[in-house]
Amino acid sequence: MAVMRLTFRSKALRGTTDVNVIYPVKPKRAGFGDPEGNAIFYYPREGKFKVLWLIHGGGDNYSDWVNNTRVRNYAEDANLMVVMPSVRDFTSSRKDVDYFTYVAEELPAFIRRIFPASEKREDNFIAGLSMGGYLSYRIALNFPENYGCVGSMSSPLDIVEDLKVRHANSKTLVAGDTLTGTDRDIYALVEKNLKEGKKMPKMFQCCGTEDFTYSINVKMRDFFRSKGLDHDYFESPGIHNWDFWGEYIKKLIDWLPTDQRETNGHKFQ
Amino acid sequence: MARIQMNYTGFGTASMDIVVPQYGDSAASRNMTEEEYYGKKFKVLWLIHGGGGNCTDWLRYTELERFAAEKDLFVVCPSIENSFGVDMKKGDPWFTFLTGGLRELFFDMFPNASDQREDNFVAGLSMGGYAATHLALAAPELYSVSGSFSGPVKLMDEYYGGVIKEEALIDMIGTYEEAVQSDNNLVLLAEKTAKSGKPLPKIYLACGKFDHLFQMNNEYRDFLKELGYDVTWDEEEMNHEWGFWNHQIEKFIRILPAR
Repeated sequence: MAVMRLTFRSKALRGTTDVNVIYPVKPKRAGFGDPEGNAIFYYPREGKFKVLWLIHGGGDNYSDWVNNTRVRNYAEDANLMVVMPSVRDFTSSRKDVDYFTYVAEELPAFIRRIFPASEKREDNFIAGLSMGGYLSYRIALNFPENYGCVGSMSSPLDIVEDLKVRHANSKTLVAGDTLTGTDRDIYALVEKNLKEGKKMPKMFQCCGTEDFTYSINVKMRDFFRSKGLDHDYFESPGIHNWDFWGEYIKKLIDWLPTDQRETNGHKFQ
Repeated sequence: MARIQMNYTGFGTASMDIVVPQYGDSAASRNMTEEEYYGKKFKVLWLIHGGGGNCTDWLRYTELERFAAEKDLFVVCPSIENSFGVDMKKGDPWFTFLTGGLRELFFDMFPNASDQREDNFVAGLSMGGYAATHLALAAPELYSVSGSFSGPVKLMDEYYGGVIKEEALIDMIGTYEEAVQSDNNLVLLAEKTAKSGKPLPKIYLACGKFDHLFQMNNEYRDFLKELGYDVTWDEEEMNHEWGFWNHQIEKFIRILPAR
């Protein structure tokens, strides 16, 4: 296993940014492991890796998924690469930086330039928590041809309502009303894809029953169901915190069509 | 250039820093499209820290990224502890790892990095200079150029009973009697490699005039030349210090072949 912090210059962000990357390299172990002083070699990879583009919530950055959950262990078990960018603007309120283009286009292009990351639709998944889940759906429904699956955890998928209720006075987010019917409105994106006959990614949606986004999630779940989409919904007691996301990141990765291999958990080496 | 700070499963969880070429940084890249830039294999410099340091040193104390950009180099800086990059008598087999497992991991991870001998270079400062020269002489089929800046290249004569505590040396490469007859003796190793018929690495040696290793490096340079090695020498009125290594990494990268 390798976990790395990648620092590079982004055109879309007009600046230098950080990304955490989980890379599932697998060592060959002759025996018990480290303290024996044995030589170490690695299994060669088979083809390119499937990739989960995993986005943090509002106010967090690239480091939070790794620091707050066991995503690294789950990715290792699933032979999955995980790429975690930093996002400061989820609703494209600013004109000088373009996080949407960064996450949807520039970052995947750069990652595929340097790592053996698959470009295939069926090998690419995008998900996030809270605002990161909203951005994941927004990107996946704008580019349904690029992602096999999309996932959200505790996310304000009805962005218009969320902005109106919780962020009416925000200086960093756009006003909710201005998004209705646009390519930032999840309802409108679903309708548009249906109308154009575009195949949408398989959807994962979950929320804690005590989360403040719960009613939005229930409403969105019912909407997805009414449209007959390929959609799986999960809920359990929980609020808007890492206890919930720590549990559901495992469920999400188990749910994804990955190359599951022998689970070794967080074993002592 | 992009930078990667990595923790990976090596001997335990280990750390490594990597400089990754990014389109638009080098003069050369500005004359080609992004497609062309990434479509061609990149050369690789394996760069080793000194004793008491780790993988972050080269990036923290020098302008490495800026120099590496001019040749569009991947630069791999592994942490090798205080191992001198040898298979330790009491400790981990670093030489086997640097020439084996670590290369597997790196070239698997970065398909655009060339694993060809003519595209792979190894260098280091002080302890890392010894390690780099040792790697290039012991595995000349893997590296075409080595660079040692202020390296204790004649470790045997000067060090037993000298600067490093003898117990540490014995744990690393054995007693003097054992070590002097082994490949860890770079004098013996250089002779052996020169006679092996393998292609010889080009060797860059540099040392500050006020460094206590200056005399040793002069002797080793003359010795290598007598054996027929292509040696590039540089000296400056400096000591065992980062100012010198910052100059030297720039000069060393300058002698490397263009991409």
